[in-house]
Amino acid sequence: MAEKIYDLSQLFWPGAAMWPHLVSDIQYGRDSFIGVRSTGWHGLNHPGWFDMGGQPGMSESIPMNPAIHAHGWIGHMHPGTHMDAPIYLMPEGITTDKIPLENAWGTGVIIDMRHKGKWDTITAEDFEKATPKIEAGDFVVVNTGWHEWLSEECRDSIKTYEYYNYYPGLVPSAAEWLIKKKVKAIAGTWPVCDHSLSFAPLKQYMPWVYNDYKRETGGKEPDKEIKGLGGFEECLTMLLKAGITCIQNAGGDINQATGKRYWRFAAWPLRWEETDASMVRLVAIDKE
Amino acid sequence: MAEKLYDLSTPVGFMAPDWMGHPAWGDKYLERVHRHEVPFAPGMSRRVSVYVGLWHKGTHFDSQTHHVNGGVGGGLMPLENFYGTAVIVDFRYMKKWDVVTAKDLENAKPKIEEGDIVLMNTGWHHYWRVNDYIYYNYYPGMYTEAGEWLLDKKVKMVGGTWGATDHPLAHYPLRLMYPHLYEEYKQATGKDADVEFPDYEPCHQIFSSNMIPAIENVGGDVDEVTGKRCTIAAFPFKFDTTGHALRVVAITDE
Repeated sequence: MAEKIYDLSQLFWPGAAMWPHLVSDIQYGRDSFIGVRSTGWHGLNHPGWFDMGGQPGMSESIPMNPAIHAHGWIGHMHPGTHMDAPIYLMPEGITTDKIPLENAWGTGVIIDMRHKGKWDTITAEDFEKATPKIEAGDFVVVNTGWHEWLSEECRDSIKTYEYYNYYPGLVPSAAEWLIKKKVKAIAGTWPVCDHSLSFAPLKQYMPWVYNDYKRETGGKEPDKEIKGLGGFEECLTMLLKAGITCIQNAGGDINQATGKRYWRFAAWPLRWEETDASMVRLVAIDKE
Repeated sequence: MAEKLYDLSTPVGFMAPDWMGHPAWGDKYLERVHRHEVPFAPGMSRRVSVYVGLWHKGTHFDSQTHHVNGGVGGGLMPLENFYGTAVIVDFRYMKKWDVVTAKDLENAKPKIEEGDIVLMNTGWHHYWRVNDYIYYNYYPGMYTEAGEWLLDKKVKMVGGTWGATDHPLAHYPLRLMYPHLYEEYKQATGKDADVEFPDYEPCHQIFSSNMIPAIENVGGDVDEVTGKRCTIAAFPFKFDTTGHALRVVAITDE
């Protein structure tokens, strides 16, 4: 049986759009040696990259045939396609390295929610009616189509605003449905599984979206208008508490893979201690 | 048949050692953790750890771009390379500074077949976070001959329980790169490492230029699957970087 692997992950790159809330950004560093390896602490400097310094303790220049490039990183572990660990939200929760591998591997479905529009909610009924049918123990991957706002064509434009602020997401009753169904994992083409307006008090926390909503609805309050809208990241909290693996920012080639059951999904987190999240490569493996 | 998963990754944390020669980065490295209150939301807080360092850390592979100008970043390499049938060969009989030869690979059990993912267990992962000096300076490793043999065999991916894909002495000019090791080798054997190992990281070059991911610092529960054939899944996260920390998982049907 031939196996086919589908990449369901977003590319993260130095200019990739980031979560608009109050978090620190990522800095990249680069160290390059081409031809001659630098001797000092301050080697080659590249505009836009912070200087990583040369190799200390060297007394002379060393001619080197091969080039060596090494990227550095200063930042959190939540960029791009990533898995949140329970400790991110709950002090008593486990860290990334303690998430059992079995929770990051298994059969499941990619369901089509591309009919959902701006600020639409994904409900228990949507999951109930989904095709293919969601079974106990499944990896559930939701395609809202929203990842397209981060595609190659859009990635330098204002469209990333749509991605982070208007995406359709879960309401707590939908999270409850997943918990009752005993699914293994939930992933989606969203910055977080919770609905884009589920950050109460929205007026203070994300005033720009709050204002967008009022402007477009003729002055209505989102939490009064939208049925069953949760508090602050209520779904993520419920799901992590229930031991369900939560993966954010799915994307990649998901449009070519939607509406099917897959033999396996994989999304290994790094075995990094004390971390509250890990970038993952979410893939679907089909046996044909 | 029940599927079983084995974690072949080393744990990375505060005391995880770094490759020698990166003290500038090693010193900067930390995992900083803080909790911050969510503004306007009483009772809400978030825990955020921050990583400062290279992605050439713990169990990782070097992307093509690490050694090839304009090469492909790790997360952009074909996913097929990171998944498939694998052999975990037993090199635990090897000792300090032993060199993996073509004969070792030829005689390896189970037999290495074309298209395999090949992981080599030297047992050196037992020094991880136990003795950093032994871990990075003495491990048995590959040199040109082994790299060429594996390339000819058309392997898909390679990996080992060692500090680097190349032998610790294969860093010409070692006399300048790692003078401590050059001197130590000379005193111990009377030999000149720069004469014995005149190529700089030849296996890195061979694998990088042929798009064969080479995983370093394999470890974890690798002993449990050594001498076996299994499936390896080690998908790297989708970043365009020179190095890639990753989780290597062996899957068996028992």
